[in-house]
Amino acid sequence: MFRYLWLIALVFCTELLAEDRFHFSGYGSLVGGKVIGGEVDPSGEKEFQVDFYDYAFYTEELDFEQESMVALQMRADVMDRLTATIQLVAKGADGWSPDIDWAYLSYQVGQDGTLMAGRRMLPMYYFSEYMEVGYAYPWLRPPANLYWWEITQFNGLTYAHSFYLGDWTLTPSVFGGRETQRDIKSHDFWRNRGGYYFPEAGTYIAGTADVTWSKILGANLAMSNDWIDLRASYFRTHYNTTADVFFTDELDINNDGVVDQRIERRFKPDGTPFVSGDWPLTDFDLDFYGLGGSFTFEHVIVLFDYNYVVYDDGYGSEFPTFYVSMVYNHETWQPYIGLSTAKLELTKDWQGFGVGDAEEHQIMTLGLRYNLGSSAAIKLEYNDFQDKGDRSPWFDFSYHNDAKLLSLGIDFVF
Amino acid sequence: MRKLLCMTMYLGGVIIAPAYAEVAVIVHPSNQQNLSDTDIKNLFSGKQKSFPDGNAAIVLSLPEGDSNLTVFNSKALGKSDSQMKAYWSKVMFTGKGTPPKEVSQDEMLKLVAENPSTIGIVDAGKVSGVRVVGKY
Repeated sequence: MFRYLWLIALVFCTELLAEDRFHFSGYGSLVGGKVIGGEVDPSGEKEFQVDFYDYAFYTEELDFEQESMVALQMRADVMDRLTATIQLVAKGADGWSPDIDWAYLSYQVGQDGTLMAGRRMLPMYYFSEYMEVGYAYPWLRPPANLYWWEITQFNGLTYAHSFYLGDWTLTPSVFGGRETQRDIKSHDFWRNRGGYYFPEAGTYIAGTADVTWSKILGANLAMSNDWIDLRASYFRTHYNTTADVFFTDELDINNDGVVDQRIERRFKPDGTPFVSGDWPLTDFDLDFYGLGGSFTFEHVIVLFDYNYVVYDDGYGSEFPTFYVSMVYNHETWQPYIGLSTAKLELTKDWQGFGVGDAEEHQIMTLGLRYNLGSSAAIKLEYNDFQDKGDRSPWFDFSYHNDAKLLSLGIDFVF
Repeated sequence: MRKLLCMTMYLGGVIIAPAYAEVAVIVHPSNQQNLSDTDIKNLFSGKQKSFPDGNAAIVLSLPEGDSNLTVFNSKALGKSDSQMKAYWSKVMFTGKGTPPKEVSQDEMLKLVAENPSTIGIVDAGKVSGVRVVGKY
Protein backbone atom coordinates (compact mmCIF):
# COMPACT_ATOMS: atom_id res chain seq x y z
CA MET A 1 0.00 0.00 0.00
CA PHE A 2 2.78 2.43 0.80
CA ARG A 3 4.08 2.09 -2.72
CA TYR A 4 0.85 3.57 -4.04
CA LEU A 5 1.01 6.38 -1.52
CA TRP A 6 4.57 7.02 -2.55
CA LEU A 7 3.40 7.35 -6.19
CA ILE A 8 0.47 9.58 -5.27
CA ALA A 9 2.74 11.76 -3.20
CA LEU A 10 5.31 11.93 -5.99
CA VAL A 11 2.67 13.10 -8.45
CA PHE A 12 1.49 15.80 -6.08
CA CYS A 13 5.03 16.72 -5.19
CA THR A 14 6.03 17.22 -8.81
CA GLU A 15 3.11 19.57 -9.27
CA LEU A 16 3.90 21.46 -6.12
CA LEU A 17 7.63 21.55 -6.40
CA ALA A 18 7.75 25.14 -7.50
CA GLU A 19 5.55 26.30 -4.65
CA ASP A 20 6.12 26.94 -0.98
CA ARG A 21 4.17 23.84 -0.06
CA PHE A 22 7.11 21.52 -0.03
CA HIS A 23 9.17 21.02 3.11
CA PHE A 24 12.38 19.07 3.52
CA SER A 25 13.94 18.13 6.82
CA GLY A 26 15.94 15.27 8.18
CA TYR A 27 17.98 13.71 10.92
CA GLY A 28 20.86 11.36 11.35
CA SER A 29 23.43 9.80 13.63
CA LEU A 30 27.06 8.85 13.32
CA VAL A 31 27.88 6.31 16.02
CA GLY A 32 30.93 4.24 16.79
CA GLY A 33 31.08 1.50 19.40
CA LYS A 34 33.30 -1.19 20.83
CA VAL A 35 32.76 -4.00 23.30
CA ILE A 36 35.21 -3.45 26.15
CA GLY A 37 34.41 -6.41 28.34
CA GLY A 38 32.17 -9.36 28.94
CA GLU A 39 31.97 -13.04 28.14
CA VAL A 40 32.08 -14.91 24.87
CA ASP A 41 28.58 -15.88 23.73
CA PRO A 42 27.58 -18.91 21.59
CA SER A 43 28.77 -17.12 18.43
CA GLY A 44 32.33 -17.30 19.73
CA GLU A 45 32.66 -13.54 20.21
CA LYS A 46 31.88 -10.96 22.84
CA GLU A 47 28.84 -9.27 21.34
CA PHE A 48 26.54 -6.45 22.34
CA GLN A 49 23.22 -6.22 20.48
CA VAL A 50 22.05 -2.66 19.97
CA ASP A 51 19.34 -3.08 17.38
CA PHE A 52 17.64 -6.44 17.41
CA TYR A 53 15.42 -6.01 14.36
CA ASP A 54 18.12 -4.53 12.12
CA TYR A 55 20.56 -7.08 13.47
CA ALA A 56 23.06 -4.48 14.60
CA PHE A 57 25.64 -5.50 17.17
CA TYR A 58 29.12 -4.52 18.27
CA THR A 59 32.10 -6.75 18.88
CA GLU A 60 35.52 -5.98 20.29
CA GLU A 61 36.41 -4.26 17.03
CA LEU A 62 35.54 -0.57 16.77
CA ASP A 63 32.66 -0.24 14.31
CA PHE A 64 30.98 2.83 12.83
CA GLU A 65 28.48 1.07 10.56
CA GLN A 66 26.12 -0.56 13.03
CA GLU A 67 24.05 2.42 14.13
CA SER A 68 25.03 5.22 11.78
CA MET A 69 22.08 6.37 9.73
CA VAL A 70 20.55 9.29 7.91
CA ALA A 71 16.90 10.10 7.18
CA LEU A 72 15.24 12.58 4.88
CA GLN A 73 11.66 13.70 5.38
CA MET A 74 9.61 15.35 2.68
CA ARG A 75 6.26 16.87 3.47
CA ALA A 76 3.92 18.36 0.91
CA ASP A 77 0.79 20.39 1.62
CA VAL A 78 -1.33 18.67 -0.99
CA MET A 79 -4.41 20.79 -0.42
CA ASP A 80 -6.22 22.45 2.43
CA ARG A 81 -6.13 20.02 5.41
CA LEU A 82 -4.29 17.30 3.48
CA THR A 83 -0.54 16.69 3.67
CA ALA A 84 1.67 13.90 2.33
CA THR A 85 4.77 12.82 4.26
CA ILE A 86 7.56 10.48 3.22
CA GLN A 87 10.60 9.52 5.23
CA LEU A 88 13.53 7.74 3.61
CA VAL A 89 15.94 6.09 6.02
CA ALA A 90 19.36 4.66 5.14
CA LYS A 91 21.25 2.67 7.78
CA GLY A 92 24.80 1.41 7.94
CA ALA A 93 23.59 -1.90 9.40
CA ASP A 94 21.41 -2.33 6.33
CA GLY A 95 24.19 -1.59 3.82
CA TRP A 96 22.98 2.03 3.46
CA SER A 97 20.13 1.00 1.15
CA PRO A 98 17.28 3.48 1.69
CA ASP A 99 14.00 2.19 3.12
CA ILE A 100 10.68 4.00 3.20
CA ASP A 101 10.00 4.05 6.92
CA TRP A 102 7.11 6.47 6.74
CA ALA A 103 4.79 7.28 3.81
CA TYR A 104 1.36 8.53 4.69
CA LEU A 105 -1.35 11.03 4.00
CA SER A 106 -2.62 13.10 6.88
CA TYR A 107 -6.03 14.74 6.85
CA GLN A 108 -7.10 17.25 9.48
CA VAL A 109 -10.62 16.48 10.70
CA GLY A 110 -12.22 19.56 12.24
CA GLN A 111 -9.96 21.57 14.55
CA ASP A 112 -8.55 18.75 16.69
CA GLY A 113 -8.74 15.49 14.77
CA THR A 114 -6.19 13.90 12.42
CA LEU A 115 -6.72 10.91 10.17
CA MET A 116 -3.53 9.30 8.85
CA ALA A 117 -3.42 6.64 6.14
CA GLY A 118 -0.30 4.83 5.04
CA ARG A 119 2.96 3.63 6.49
CA ARG A 120 3.91 4.81 9.97
CA MET A 121 5.89 3.67 12.98
CA LEU A 122 3.86 1.41 15.25
CA PRO A 123 3.18 3.24 18.53
CA MET A 124 4.43 0.59 20.95
CA TYR A 125 6.99 1.82 23.46
CA TYR A 126 7.12 5.40 24.69
CA PHE A 127 9.98 6.17 22.28
CA SER A 128 8.95 3.78 19.46
CA GLU A 129 7.70 6.42 17.10
CA TYR A 130 10.94 8.37 17.16
CA MET A 131 13.46 5.80 18.34
CA GLU A 132 15.64 6.62 15.35
CA VAL A 133 15.61 10.37 15.90
CA GLY A 134 18.56 10.33 18.29
CA TYR A 135 18.53 14.09 18.71
CA ALA A 136 15.03 13.94 20.24
CA TYR A 137 15.98 11.86 23.30
CA PRO A 138 18.81 12.02 25.80
CA TRP A 139 20.54 8.67 25.30
CA LEU A 140 22.57 7.31 22.44
CA ARG A 141 19.82 4.75 21.89
CA PRO A 142 16.71 3.53 23.67
CA PRO A 143 17.44 0.41 25.77
CA ALA A 144 18.18 -2.30 23.23
CA ASN A 145 16.80 -5.16 25.29
CA LEU A 146 13.33 -3.59 25.17
CA TYR A 147 13.20 -2.17 21.66
CA TRP A 148 13.80 -5.47 20.01
CA TRP A 149 10.90 -6.25 17.63
CA GLU A 150 11.32 -7.22 13.99
CA ILE A 151 8.27 -5.14 13.18
CA THR A 152 8.44 -1.44 13.92
CA GLN A 153 6.26 0.03 11.16
CA PHE A 154 2.84 -0.83 9.87
CA ASN A 155 0.61 0.00 6.94
CA GLY A 156 -2.83 1.13 7.97
CA LEU A 157 -5.00 3.82 9.44
CA THR A 158 -4.60 5.99 12.55
CA TYR A 159 -7.09 8.46 13.95
CA ALA A 160 -6.03 10.84 16.73
CA HIS A 161 -8.12 13.44 18.50
CA SER A 162 -6.86 16.08 20.94
CA PHE A 163 -8.75 17.89 23.66
CA TYR A 164 -7.98 19.86 26.82
CA LEU A 165 -8.92 19.24 30.40
CA GLY A 166 -7.68 21.98 32.72
CA ASP A 167 -3.89 22.08 32.28
CA TRP A 168 -3.84 18.74 30.47
CA THR A 169 -3.75 18.03 26.76
CA LEU A 170 -5.18 14.59 26.01
CA THR A 171 -4.79 12.75 22.72
CA PRO A 172 -6.54 9.40 22.41
CA SER A 173 -5.89 7.56 19.17
CA VAL A 174 -6.87 4.29 17.51
CA PHE A 175 -4.95 2.45 14.83
CA GLY A 176 -5.19 -0.68 12.70
CA GLY A 177 -3.29 -2.34 9.88
CA ARG A 178 -0.69 -4.96 9.05
CA GLU A 179 2.97 -5.40 8.18
CA THR A 180 5.25 -8.02 6.65
CA GLN A 181 9.03 -7.93 6.90
CA ARG A 182 10.88 -10.24 4.55
CA ASP A 183 14.35 -11.71 4.78
CA ILE A 184 14.88 -10.88 8.41
CA LYS A 185 18.39 -11.75 9.45
CA SER A 186 17.78 -11.81 13.16
CA HIS A 187 16.00 -15.17 13.20
CA ASP A 188 19.04 -16.83 11.78
CA PHE A 189 21.16 -14.87 14.19
CA TRP A 190 19.19 -16.22 17.13
CA ARG A 191 18.93 -19.71 15.72
CA ASN A 192 22.70 -19.92 15.38
CA ARG A 193 22.91 -18.99 19.02
CA GLY A 194 20.61 -21.70 20.24
CA GLY A 195 17.17 -20.22 19.56
CA TYR A 196 14.49 -22.51 18.25
CA TYR A 197 11.50 -21.60 16.14
CA PHE A 198 10.49 -23.66 13.18
CA PRO A 199 8.58 -26.92 12.83
CA GLU A 200 10.54 -30.05 12.11
CA ALA A 201 8.98 -30.78 8.71
CA GLY A 202 11.85 -30.05 6.36
CA THR A 203 15.26 -28.78 7.34
CA TYR A 204 15.68 -25.12 8.04
CA ILE A 205 17.93 -23.38 5.52
CA ALA A 206 20.32 -21.05 7.25
CA GLY A 207 19.40 -17.63 5.98
CA THR A 208 16.47 -15.44 6.70
CA ALA A 209 12.84 -15.56 7.74
CA ASP A 210 9.69 -13.58 7.01
CA VAL A 211 7.49 -12.16 9.74
CA THR A 212 3.93 -10.89 9.37
CA TRP A 213 1.89 -9.00 11.90
CA SER A 214 -1.67 -9.05 10.63
CA LYS A 215 -4.91 -7.66 12.08
CA ILE A 216 -3.05 -5.05 14.13
CA LEU A 217 -5.65 -3.20 16.16
CA GLY A 218 -4.89 -0.91 19.07
CA ALA A 219 -5.36 2.32 20.97
CA ASN A 220 -3.12 4.90 22.63
CA LEU A 221 -3.78 7.61 25.15
CA ALA A 222 -1.24 10.42 25.36
CA MET A 223 -1.64 13.04 28.08
CA SER A 224 0.62 15.88 29.10
CA ASN A 225 0.75 18.99 31.24
CA ASP A 226 3.54 21.35 32.30
CA TRP A 227 5.77 18.68 33.76
CA ILE A 228 4.16 15.28 33.17
CA ASP A 229 3.95 13.44 29.88
CA LEU A 230 2.32 10.00 29.86
CA ARG A 231 1.34 7.48 27.24
CA ALA A 232 -0.65 4.29 27.62
CA SER A 233 -0.78 1.86 24.73
CA TYR A 234 -2.44 -1.39 23.82
CA PHE A 235 -2.63 -3.43 20.66
CA ARG A 236 -3.28 -6.94 19.48
CA THR A 237 -1.89 -8.56 16.37
CA HIS A 238 -1.57 -11.98 14.79
CA TYR A 239 2.09 -13.02 14.56
CA ASN A 240 3.29 -15.40 11.89
CA THR A 241 6.82 -16.29 10.87
CA THR A 242 8.03 -18.61 8.14
CA ALA A 243 11.44 -19.63 6.78
CA ASP A 244 12.70 -21.48 3.73
CA VAL A 245 13.21 -25.22 4.32
CA PHE A 246 14.36 -28.19 2.27
CA PHE A 247 13.32 -31.84 2.19
CA THR A 248 15.61 -34.76 1.52
CA ASP A 249 14.30 -37.61 -0.59
CA GLU A 250 16.02 -40.90 0.05
CA LEU A 251 16.04 -43.15 -2.99
CA ASP A 252 16.51 -46.91 -2.89
CA ILE A 253 17.11 -47.51 -6.59
CA ASN A 254 17.72 -51.27 -6.58
CA ASN A 255 15.23 -52.04 -3.83
CA ASP A 256 17.81 -53.63 -1.57
CA GLY A 257 16.67 -51.67 1.47
CA VAL A 258 19.78 -49.48 1.39
CA VAL A 259 19.52 -45.79 0.45
CA ASP A 260 21.46 -45.24 -2.77
CA GLN A 261 20.89 -41.54 -3.30
CA ARG A 262 19.75 -38.52 -1.32
CA ILE A 263 18.13 -35.66 -3.23
CA GLU A 264 17.63 -32.29 -1.67
CA ARG A 265 14.43 -30.52 -2.70
CA ARG A 266 14.28 -26.78 -2.00
CA PHE A 267 11.71 -25.74 -4.59
CA LYS A 268 8.21 -26.79 -5.47
CA PRO A 269 7.45 -27.80 -9.08
CA ASP A 270 6.34 -24.22 -9.76
CA GLY A 271 9.76 -22.91 -8.72
CA THR A 272 8.70 -21.28 -5.45
CA PRO A 273 10.70 -22.21 -2.34
CA PHE A 274 9.35 -24.56 0.29
CA VAL A 275 8.56 -22.64 3.42
CA SER A 276 8.07 -23.86 6.94
CA GLY A 277 4.52 -24.56 8.00
CA ASP A 278 2.62 -23.01 10.87
CA TRP A 279 2.71 -24.42 14.34
CA PRO A 280 2.06 -22.94 17.77
CA LEU A 281 5.58 -21.47 17.99
CA THR A 282 5.36 -19.55 14.73
CA ASP A 283 1.68 -18.62 14.42
CA PHE A 284 -0.13 -16.99 17.34
CA ASP A 285 -1.84 -13.88 18.74
CA LEU A 286 0.25 -11.21 20.46
CA ASP A 287 -1.02 -8.64 23.00
CA PHE A 288 1.03 -5.57 23.86
CA TYR A 289 0.38 -3.42 26.96
CA GLY A 290 2.48 -0.37 27.76
CA LEU A 291 2.66 2.64 30.05
CA GLY A 292 5.48 5.13 29.73
CA GLY A 293 6.22 8.73 30.36
CA SER A 294 8.43 11.49 31.67
CA PHE A 295 8.40 13.77 34.68
CA THR A 296 10.28 17.06 34.45
CA PHE A 297 11.44 18.14 37.90
CA GLU A 298 13.53 21.14 38.86
CA HIS A 299 16.89 19.44 38.39
CA VAL A 300 16.13 16.17 36.65
CA ILE A 301 13.89 14.52 34.10
CA VAL A 302 12.74 11.01 35.01
CA LEU A 303 11.70 8.73 32.14
CA PHE A 304 10.08 5.33 32.48
CA ASP A 305 8.42 2.66 30.37
CA TYR A 306 6.70 -0.49 31.55
CA ASN A 307 5.54 -3.06 29.02
CA TYR A 308 3.95 -6.46 29.08
CA VAL A 309 3.77 -8.62 26.00
CA VAL A 310 1.84 -11.87 25.91
CA TYR A 311 2.09 -14.49 23.16
CA ASP A 312 -0.69 -17.01 22.79
CA ASP A 313 1.98 -19.46 21.55
CA GLY A 314 2.98 -22.97 22.50
CA TYR A 315 5.16 -21.73 25.35
CA GLY A 316 2.59 -19.19 26.61
CA SER A 317 5.45 -16.67 26.43
CA GLU A 318 5.18 -13.53 28.53
CA PHE A 319 7.64 -10.64 28.36
CA PRO A 320 7.56 -8.14 31.21
CA THR A 321 10.01 -5.32 30.43
CA PHE A 322 10.82 -2.12 32.24
CA TYR A 323 13.19 0.78 32.16
CA VAL A 324 13.77 3.88 34.21
CA SER A 325 16.20 6.69 33.45
CA MET A 326 17.21 9.98 35.02
CA VAL A 327 18.65 12.92 33.13
CA TYR A 328 20.19 15.99 34.73
CA ASN A 329 18.34 18.95 33.26
CA HIS A 330 21.08 21.28 32.08
CA GLU A 331 20.84 23.04 28.73
CA THR A 332 24.32 22.13 27.50
CA TRP A 333 25.57 19.14 29.50
CA GLN A 334 23.10 16.37 30.26
CA PRO A 335 24.51 13.43 32.21
CA TYR A 336 22.15 10.48 32.49
CA ILE A 337 21.75 7.05 34.01
CA GLY A 338 19.36 4.27 33.13
CA LEU A 339 18.36 0.74 33.96
CA SER A 340 16.33 -1.60 31.76
CA THR A 341 15.29 -5.17 32.40
CA ALA A 342 13.64 -7.70 30.12
CA LYS A 343 12.38 -11.13 30.96
CA LEU A 344 10.84 -14.10 29.18
CA GLU A 345 8.57 -16.33 31.21
CA LEU A 346 7.19 -19.57 29.79
CA THR A 347 3.79 -20.30 31.24
CA LYS A 348 2.78 -23.40 29.22
CA ASP A 349 4.58 -26.71 29.02
CA TRP A 350 5.45 -27.16 25.33
CA GLN A 351 6.48 -30.73 24.50
CA GLY A 352 8.01 -31.24 27.91
CA PHE A 353 10.04 -28.01 27.96
CA GLY A 354 8.43 -27.12 31.24
CA VAL A 355 7.51 -23.70 32.54
CA GLY A 356 9.43 -20.93 34.29
CA ASP A 357 11.83 -18.08 33.61
CA ALA A 358 13.60 -18.68 30.32
CA GLU A 359 15.48 -15.45 29.78
CA GLU A 360 16.37 -12.40 31.78
CA HIS A 361 18.78 -9.59 31.15
CA GLN A 362 19.36 -6.04 32.20
CA ILE A 363 21.27 -3.09 30.83
CA MET A 364 22.75 -0.45 33.07
CA THR A 365 23.51 2.77 31.22
CA LEU A 366 25.70 5.76 32.06
CA GLY A 367 26.09 8.59 29.61
CA LEU A 368 26.63 12.21 28.82
CA ARG A 369 24.93 14.34 26.19
CA TYR A 370 26.54 17.57 25.09
CA ASN A 371 24.38 19.92 23.04
CA LEU A 372 26.36 21.47 20.22
CA GLY A 373 24.29 24.52 19.38
CA SER A 374 20.67 23.63 18.75
CA SER A 375 20.93 21.14 15.89
CA ALA A 376 23.46 18.57 17.02
CA ALA A 377 24.40 16.68 20.16
CA ILE A 378 27.42 14.58 21.04
CA LYS A 379 26.81 11.57 23.26
CA LEU A 380 29.18 9.29 25.11
CA GLU A 381 27.58 6.18 26.60
CA TYR A 382 28.62 3.14 28.60
CA ASN A 383 26.32 0.11 28.76
CA ASP A 384 26.65 -2.92 30.97
CA PHE A 385 24.56 -5.84 29.67
CA GLN A 386 24.05 -8.52 32.27
CA ASP A 387 22.63 -11.85 31.27
CA LYS A 388 20.70 -13.31 34.16
CA GLY A 389 19.42 -16.25 32.13
CA ASP A 390 22.01 -18.63 33.47
CA ARG A 391 20.85 -17.83 36.96
CA SER A 392 17.23 -18.68 36.09
CA PRO A 393 15.81 -21.55 38.10
CA TRP A 394 15.65 -24.29 35.52
CA PHE A 395 16.62 -23.60 31.98
CA ASP A 396 19.21 -21.50 30.21
CA PHE A 397 17.39 -20.43 27.07
CA SER A 398 19.72 -17.55 26.76
CA TYR A 399 21.72 -16.86 23.61
CA HIS A 400 23.47 -13.78 24.86
CA ASN A 401 26.05 -13.18 27.49
CA ASP A 402 27.41 -10.40 29.66
CA ALA A 403 28.92 -7.55 27.67
CA LYS A 404 30.13 -4.02 28.28
CA LEU A 405 29.91 -1.47 25.50
CA LEU A 406 31.42 1.95 25.05
CA SER A 407 29.98 4.13 22.29
CA LEU A 408 30.35 7.68 21.06
CA GLY A 409 28.01 9.37 18.64
CA ILE A 410 26.74 12.57 17.18
CA ASP A 411 23.03 13.09 16.48
CA PHE A 412 21.85 15.89 14.25
CA VAL A 413 18.72 17.36 12.70
CA PHE A 414 18.44 19.52 9.63
CA MET B 1 6.90 25.65 37.76
CA ARG B 2 8.27 28.97 38.94
CA LYS B 3 11.09 27.09 40.56
CA LEU B 4 11.76 25.32 37.31
CA LEU B 5 11.86 28.62 35.45
CA CYS B 6 14.19 30.11 38.03
CA MET B 7 16.41 27.10 37.75
CA THR B 8 16.46 27.31 33.98
CA MET B 9 17.27 31.00 34.21
CA TYR B 10 19.97 30.32 36.72
CA LEU B 11 21.50 27.64 34.55
CA GLY B 12 21.18 29.73 31.45
CA GLY B 13 22.22 32.78 33.37
CA VAL B 14 25.45 33.31 31.51
CA ILE B 15 23.51 33.88 28.32
CA ILE B 16 20.36 35.48 29.65
CA ALA B 17 21.27 37.57 32.65
CA PRO B 18 23.26 40.41 31.09
CA ALA B 19 20.62 43.05 30.38
CA TYR B 20 18.27 40.98 28.24
CA ALA B 21 15.36 42.74 26.65
CA GLU B 22 11.80 41.80 27.41
CA VAL B 23 9.96 39.77 24.81
CA ALA B 24 6.37 40.57 23.88
CA VAL B 25 3.77 38.11 22.58
CA ILE B 26 1.75 39.98 19.97
CA VAL B 27 -1.54 39.62 18.11
CA HIS B 28 -3.57 41.72 15.66
CA PRO B 29 -5.13 44.84 17.28
CA SER B 30 -8.63 43.50 16.51
CA ASN B 31 -7.93 40.39 18.58
CA GLN B 32 -9.13 41.46 22.03
CA GLN B 33 -8.94 38.07 23.75
CA ASN B 34 -6.92 37.52 26.89
CA LEU B 35 -4.43 34.70 26.69
CA SER B 36 -3.20 32.86 29.78
CA ASP B 37 0.41 31.69 30.17
CA THR B 38 -0.88 28.18 29.50
CA ASP B 39 -2.57 29.30 26.25
CA ILE B 40 0.69 30.89 25.11
CA LYS B 41 2.71 27.86 26.09
CA ASN B 42 0.29 25.48 24.34
CA LEU B 43 0.07 27.61 21.18
CA PHE B 44 3.84 27.90 20.83
CA SER B 45 4.38 24.20 21.46
CA GLY B 46 1.74 23.20 18.92
CA LYS B 47 -0.54 21.55 21.49
CA GLN B 48 -3.26 24.15 20.94
CA LYS B 49 -4.16 25.17 17.42
CA SER B 50 -6.75 27.86 18.09
CA PHE B 51 -7.35 30.96 20.22
CA PRO B 52 -9.63 30.62 23.26
CA ASP B 53 -12.57 31.87 21.13
CA GLY B 54 -12.11 28.89 18.81
CA ASN B 55 -10.64 30.72 15.83
CA ALA B 56 -7.63 29.03 14.25
CA ALA B 57 -4.27 30.54 15.17
CA ILE B 58 -1.26 30.97 12.88
CA VAL B 59 1.79 30.87 15.14
CA LEU B 60 4.94 32.69 14.02
CA SER B 61 8.35 32.36 15.58
CA LEU B 62 11.77 34.00 15.29
CA PRO B 63 14.77 32.53 13.48
CA GLU B 64 16.97 30.07 15.35
CA GLY B 65 19.68 31.83 17.33
CA ASP B 66 17.69 35.06 17.84
CA SER B 67 18.28 36.06 21.47
CA ASN B 68 14.61 37.07 21.85
CA LEU B 69 13.62 33.53 20.97
CA THR B 70 16.03 32.17 23.58
CA VAL B 71 14.45 34.42 26.22
CA PHE B 72 10.95 33.40 25.16
CA ASN B 73 11.77 29.67 25.14
CA SER B 74 13.34 29.91 28.54
CA LYS B 75 10.83 32.16 30.31
CA ALA B 76 7.52 31.35 28.61
CA LEU B 77 8.08 27.70 27.73
CA GLY B 78 10.59 26.74 30.44
CA LYS B 79 12.91 25.12 27.89
CA SER B 80 16.34 25.80 26.42
CA ASP B 81 16.74 26.27 22.66
CA SER B 82 18.15 22.78 22.25
CA GLN B 83 15.35 21.24 24.35
CA MET B 84 12.80 22.98 22.11
CA LYS B 85 14.64 21.74 19.04
CA ALA B 86 14.59 18.19 20.43
CA TYR B 87 10.87 18.58 21.20
CA TRP B 88 10.09 19.77 17.66
CA SER B 89 12.18 17.02 16.07
CA LYS B 90 10.09 14.49 17.95
CA VAL B 91 6.83 16.16 16.89
CA MET B 92 7.90 16.76 13.31
CA PHE B 93 9.38 13.34 12.58
CA THR B 94 6.38 11.51 14.03
CA GLY B 95 3.92 13.53 11.98
CA LYS B 96 2.32 15.12 15.03
CA GLY B 97 2.82 18.67 13.81
CA THR B 98 5.21 21.24 12.41
CA PRO B 99 7.15 23.96 14.19
CA PRO B 100 5.92 27.55 13.78
CA LYS B 101 7.09 29.38 10.69
CA GLU B 102 10.21 31.44 11.37
CA VAL B 103 10.20 35.09 10.28
CA SER B 104 12.37 38.12 11.10
CA GLN B 105 11.16 40.70 13.66
CA ASP B 106 10.28 43.24 10.96
CA GLU B 107 8.35 40.66 8.98
CA MET B 108 6.70 39.47 12.20
CA LEU B 109 5.39 42.96 13.02
CA LYS B 110 4.10 43.38 9.47
CA LEU B 111 2.39 39.97 9.30
CA VAL B 112 0.76 40.25 12.73
CA ALA B 113 -0.45 43.81 12.00
CA GLU B 114 -2.06 42.55 8.79
CA ASN B 115 -3.54 39.20 9.77
CA PRO B 116 -6.02 38.77 12.68
CA SER B 117 -5.26 35.02 12.86
CA THR B 118 -1.57 35.41 13.70
CA ILE B 119 0.30 35.40 16.98
CA GLY B 120 4.02 36.09 17.26
CA ILE B 121 6.91 37.26 19.42
CA VAL B 122 9.12 40.36 19.18
CA ASP B 123 11.48 42.41 21.28
CA ALA B 124 9.13 44.36 23.59
CA GLY B 125 10.92 47.60 22.62
CA LYS B 126 9.91 47.18 18.97
CA VAL B 127 6.16 46.81 19.43
CA SER B 128 4.05 49.00 17.15
CA GLY B 129 0.72 48.58 15.39
CA VAL B 130 0.00 45.29 17.22
CA ARG B 131 -1.54 44.28 20.54
CA VAL B 132 0.58 42.78 23.31
CA VAL B 133 -0.99 39.78 25.09
CA GLY B 134 1.96 38.80 27.25
CA LYS B 135 5.45 39.88 28.24
CA TYR B 136 8.35 37.71 29.38
